[in-house]
Amino acid sequence: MEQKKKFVFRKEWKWAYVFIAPMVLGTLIFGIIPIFFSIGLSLTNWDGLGEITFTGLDNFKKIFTDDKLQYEIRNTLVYTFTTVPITLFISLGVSSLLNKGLKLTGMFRVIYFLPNVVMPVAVAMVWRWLLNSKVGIVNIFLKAIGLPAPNWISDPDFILPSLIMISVWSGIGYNAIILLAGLQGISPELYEAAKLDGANGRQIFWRMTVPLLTPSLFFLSTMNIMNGMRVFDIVYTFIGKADQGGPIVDASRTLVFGIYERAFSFMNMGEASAEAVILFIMIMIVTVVQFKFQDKWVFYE
Amino acid sequence: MGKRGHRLRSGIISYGFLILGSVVMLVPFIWMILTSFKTYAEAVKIPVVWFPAEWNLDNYRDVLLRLDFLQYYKNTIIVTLLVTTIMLFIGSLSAFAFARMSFPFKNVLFYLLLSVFMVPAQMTMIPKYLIISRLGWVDTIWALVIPNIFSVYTMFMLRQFFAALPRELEDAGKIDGCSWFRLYWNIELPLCKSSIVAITVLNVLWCWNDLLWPLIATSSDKMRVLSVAMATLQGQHGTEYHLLMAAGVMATVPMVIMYMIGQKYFITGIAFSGVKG
Repeated sequence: MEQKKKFVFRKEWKWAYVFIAPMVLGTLIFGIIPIFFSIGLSLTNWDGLGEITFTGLDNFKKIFTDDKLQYEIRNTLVYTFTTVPITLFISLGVSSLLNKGLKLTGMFRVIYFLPNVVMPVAVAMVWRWLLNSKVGIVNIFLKAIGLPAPNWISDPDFILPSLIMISVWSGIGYNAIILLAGLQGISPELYEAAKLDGANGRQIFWRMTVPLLTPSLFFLSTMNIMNGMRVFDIVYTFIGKADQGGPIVDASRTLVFGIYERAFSFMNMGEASAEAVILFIMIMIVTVVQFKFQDKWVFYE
Repeated sequence: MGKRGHRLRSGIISYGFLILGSVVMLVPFIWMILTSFKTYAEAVKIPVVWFPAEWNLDNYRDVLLRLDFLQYYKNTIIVTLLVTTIMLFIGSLSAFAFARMSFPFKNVLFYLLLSVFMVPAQMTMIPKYLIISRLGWVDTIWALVIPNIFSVYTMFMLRQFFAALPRELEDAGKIDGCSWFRLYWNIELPLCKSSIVAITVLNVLWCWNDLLWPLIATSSDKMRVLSVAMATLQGQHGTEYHLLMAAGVMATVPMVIMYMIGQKYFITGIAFSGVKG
């Protein structure tokens, strides 16, 4: 009996290893080893084909004195830390409207979520067209109601705000749905109790609903910040091939755009990897700070 | 003004905001669709021409045939099907093992896999490119498929579902002399059907829309997928809005249709990813 049991266990192990083998091996090769490979590459000088030479921290020294990296860090941070709060604020409003049990709520939900299923490249493409300074309907509309009509795409001061606006537009649906799920999880008795205590709508919303939503808000801000720091698709579609450079590109280049450009336009794997390491460190810092401060504002029941 | 009047007014204000928001959400798409049927002259005419004089499909024909979108469609469909199917198989098989079986080093291996979550994919794209180029896969279908089929996210999500199934399933299976694979394939996998659909829908969407990896991994026309083709088109024909919009509609429509049909799954998938974090 003892022996038989042991045998069965061994068989289970064998099958379990067979089942997880593809996942573990694949993740090792394409997920885990590349992390260390990336750190290693950041300390070398390599064009991807020829000889690899170890250069220590030279890449970091070099890119930190490079204007491009300054722009990339600045743009990425400005983009992320304006897009995320604006998106969350609007989504909070949308989700509470969706939670009122009005008719057609299902339809509104479908509409608001629509930008999330559309390819980001297509989103950027459409908005480039809408924001065209002469023939785009945004400016035609603004002129019609007597507002200034800026050169959204060809003015370095407006390109980043344009990208932020587009990201807010496309992020609302996802954020509102997550917040709606959070709102629906709040028990109706709590609202009844608050009303009995004589609280008005505004007080209930800011003093009760929002605090109860903080776990969702925390999740969303963490996710959104992480995604924001990695923005690439819309930037690439907006400014296209960066070989020309220029003030528009500098006003909108982000970290991932920079990594892509250094690696695949200039074939400088070492510098690109150094920038990738910087991106990773920045995301780590932001995430750690968020988790550190979460008990300051997040309520868990 | 009684309580009823107040409620009515707040209802109207709510609808007002929601409708205004819907207009902002929909206008870009409506404008994209309208432009895609126009001629170039109509597209850039001032004052604005809202509707094309003639609803013709010339732009679509041009994009599909002259600009080769038929080929890009085919590539995107093949890649998406392969990636999502294999990803689901590998992910669910390992999820099953981690949730339902016991073996040495289970936790170590599980956390090793999860550690990938900590690192943005953009950090590892250069080594990934170097690996596929060493394997001679650059600009082949392998480059688009193989590095993308190992989804820790899919594994992690499905593990939660498998773990929630009752323990008795194994006992019953063992008495019947069922193999572990049959237990996974015939008994437990079908029980997770709705969550599998939700995750698959998200994976399809992600795979269809992805730009950065195909941009790096392929270079020739022959292997191009829709996202790359659109970005290239934007670069080359940046002002031919009528063509760009027709291309945009075509790249978008399959996902919008999928979303309309499987909305329920989208919303559950999304909401689930949010709740569990």
